[in-house]
Amino acid sequence: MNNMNQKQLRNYIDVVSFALDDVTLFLDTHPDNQDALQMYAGLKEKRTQAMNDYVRFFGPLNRYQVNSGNKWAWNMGPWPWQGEV
Amino acid sequence: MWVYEKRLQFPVNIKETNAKLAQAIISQYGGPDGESGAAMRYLSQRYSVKNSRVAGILTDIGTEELGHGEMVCAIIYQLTRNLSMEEIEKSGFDKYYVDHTLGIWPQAAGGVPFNACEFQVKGDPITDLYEDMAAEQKARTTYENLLRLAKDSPDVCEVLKFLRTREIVHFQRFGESLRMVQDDLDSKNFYAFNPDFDRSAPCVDPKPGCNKD
Ligand SMILES: [Fe+2]
Repeated sequence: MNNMNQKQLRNYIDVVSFALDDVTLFLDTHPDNQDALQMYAGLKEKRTQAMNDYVRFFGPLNRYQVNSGNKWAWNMGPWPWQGEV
Repeated sequence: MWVYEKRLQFPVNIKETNAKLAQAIISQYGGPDGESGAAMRYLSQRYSVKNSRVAGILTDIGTEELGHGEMVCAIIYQLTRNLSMEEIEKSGFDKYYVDHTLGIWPQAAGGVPFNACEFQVKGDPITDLYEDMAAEQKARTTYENLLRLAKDSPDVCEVLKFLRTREIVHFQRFGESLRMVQDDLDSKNFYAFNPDFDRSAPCVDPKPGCNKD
């Protein structure tokens, strides 16, 4: 993740998060499936690391990640529904 | 994108069974000034809002209202989970029970189903923020009415009091949001102007509401 720009890192987070969303649904109905459990663990690790990087370099993606400094930056655009900037 | 957290914003732990009270409180889930309407009102209004900070406030308060809907449902669930057939008949819960058993369906206390007209989106941030301030006041009044009905149920009152206080905080934040939007206006466009729309509309002649920047 070291050399990714903001767009690439966001895209990576989108991909990993969607994989997690999907494997979560699968595990909800297959709680003993070892392959899926392993996949979840690997993806979770990747997402955590990518999120940490994103927050550090580009800012918060949710309201519990804000490193406030001396000016509140959470409710600043662009917002995801505005499309590419 | 939303992520669910397995917790309530404020705990709900009710031991008693009280179907009559549940039928009143359900209005704050699916009634005219309930939490479902509040959540969808703010989350729907935010898209066209050009002031970024205000779009964020609508997002954050809308998100919190989703959590409040969950808390209201937790109250209703806990008040009705141990209902006996006899209590269902005696408490007047029978009419609701016929269609929904003990499931939770968004309706007003009087039985009127949830209606999308409960939330308004006018596409004008000044109009919408006045709507939102009024909505928060109406929700506060509803919680006060409920508190009078729930006076003998301290566990329920604790939660209703918390939710009532949040309506006051939301009213204050929307008032500040309105000020932020109005601060973007000048003396020529302070009235009769939609800052999310009129700036891009062709201006025929210089009249109030016509921003020529
Ligand atoms: Fe509210």
